Amino acid sequence: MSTGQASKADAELILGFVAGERESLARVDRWIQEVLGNRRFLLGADREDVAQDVRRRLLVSFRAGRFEGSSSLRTYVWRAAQHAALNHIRGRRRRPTSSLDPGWEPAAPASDPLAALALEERRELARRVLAALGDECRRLWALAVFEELPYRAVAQRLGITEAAVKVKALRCRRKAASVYQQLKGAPSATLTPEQAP
Amino acid sequence: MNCTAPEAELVAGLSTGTLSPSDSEAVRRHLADCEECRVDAAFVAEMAATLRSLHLTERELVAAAWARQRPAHVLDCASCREEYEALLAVDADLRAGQARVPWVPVAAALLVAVLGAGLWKLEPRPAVEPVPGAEVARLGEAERRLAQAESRLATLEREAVAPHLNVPIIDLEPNAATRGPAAAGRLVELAANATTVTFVVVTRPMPPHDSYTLEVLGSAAEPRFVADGLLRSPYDTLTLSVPRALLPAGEYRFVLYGRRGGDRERVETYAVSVRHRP
Repeated sequence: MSTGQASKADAELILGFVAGERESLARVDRWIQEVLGNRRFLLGADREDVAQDVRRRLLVSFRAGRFEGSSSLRTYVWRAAQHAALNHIRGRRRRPTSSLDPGWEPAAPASDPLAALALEERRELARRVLAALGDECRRLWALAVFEELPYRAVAQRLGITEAAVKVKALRCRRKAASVYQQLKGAPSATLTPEQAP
Repeated sequence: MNCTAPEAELVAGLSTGTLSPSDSEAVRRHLADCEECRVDAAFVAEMAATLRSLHLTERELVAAAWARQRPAHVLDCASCREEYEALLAVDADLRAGQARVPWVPVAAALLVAVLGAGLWKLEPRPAVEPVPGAEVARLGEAERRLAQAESRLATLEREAVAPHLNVPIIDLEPNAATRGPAAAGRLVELAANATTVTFVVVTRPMPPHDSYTLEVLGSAAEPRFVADGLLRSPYDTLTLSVPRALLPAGEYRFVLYGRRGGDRERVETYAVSVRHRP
């Protein structure tokens, strides 16, 4: 376990937690509950399951010596709990995030730089496509693609008929497809909204 | 795009998941016969995936909220915005809680200090300044723990390169499949010189998961260790060998989880009692 930079009290608490000492477990658990008990997360009956998930993450992390003491242990536990709560909330919404987010700890700058670069390039492309669309298309795509709402719900949000949403979606799709293809073909080109079809 | 079928206009909706079930079905039937629309559907799916790459990962959201930096994407994505704002509020509560002065303990400490000072004045002064006993005890305790951990590590290192004798091989049946006294827990007795125990974890027949994780919990449901990356054999079993040091005598609950795609679900639970023979 590498707790070289951690304060002595934190290092002792980690040793106790890993050894399953009741006092250390209770202390860490109190910090976990400070986060999970927040009404903003609305965890309800799932709270204990999420807490167990946090304990598991912490145990794995401590055993692997990943707590380096760059923050206090309490802050570290809070972040782990926030991450687990968010993961749970997203799971309820059925939004897949695991492929995007393999870990919960702050990544070291050198950890898988190629993947980070590929993701950043992909995001840059997405930003440029969105920037080239008008406000109307951008709003519609945000609801359909980001929120993954069915056309009926999109229609309700925009206050128009479902048929009108389908027509707009087709028009926006063509526009986005054209921009997307152009940008993919010429990655260094910058397409302004005026240039978009 | 030359296809003029009415379903061609809905192909994008299929890729983004925005169609009603009946429209989805109609588009799927159309795609089976239309190569051009299949290509279009794949293209739209790729484009939608690229746009969705803007979704902030959990790590990014937690870090952004912690740093109070609003990411641009939350302006477009309402659910990311909700999540970000929830995290901000939770952070604010946590910081407020940390900053709050715990008046009761502070008042108690002040009272003790005042009374202590009064008593100290009444007592005769010792000739030598007393050693700060609490600090010495605390350091002593930390050193004892460190020595224990080092000794345990040395034992584990020795055991790792020695043959393992008297290794019990234990079949674990799921709790739900047992009745009567067996449900109280599978008894594992370790001989004095047994350094590992091998578990053959039996599951009920079910569609396979991509991988399995076994979490081992102690009697107070505290996590003891996690075995990640287990694979199921064609006979619905998984195997793992556990060092004795990870299984002190006591009651345990083994919880098997399966991962399929991004989902993790509980598969089975097993009760285990461990005894160490002298």
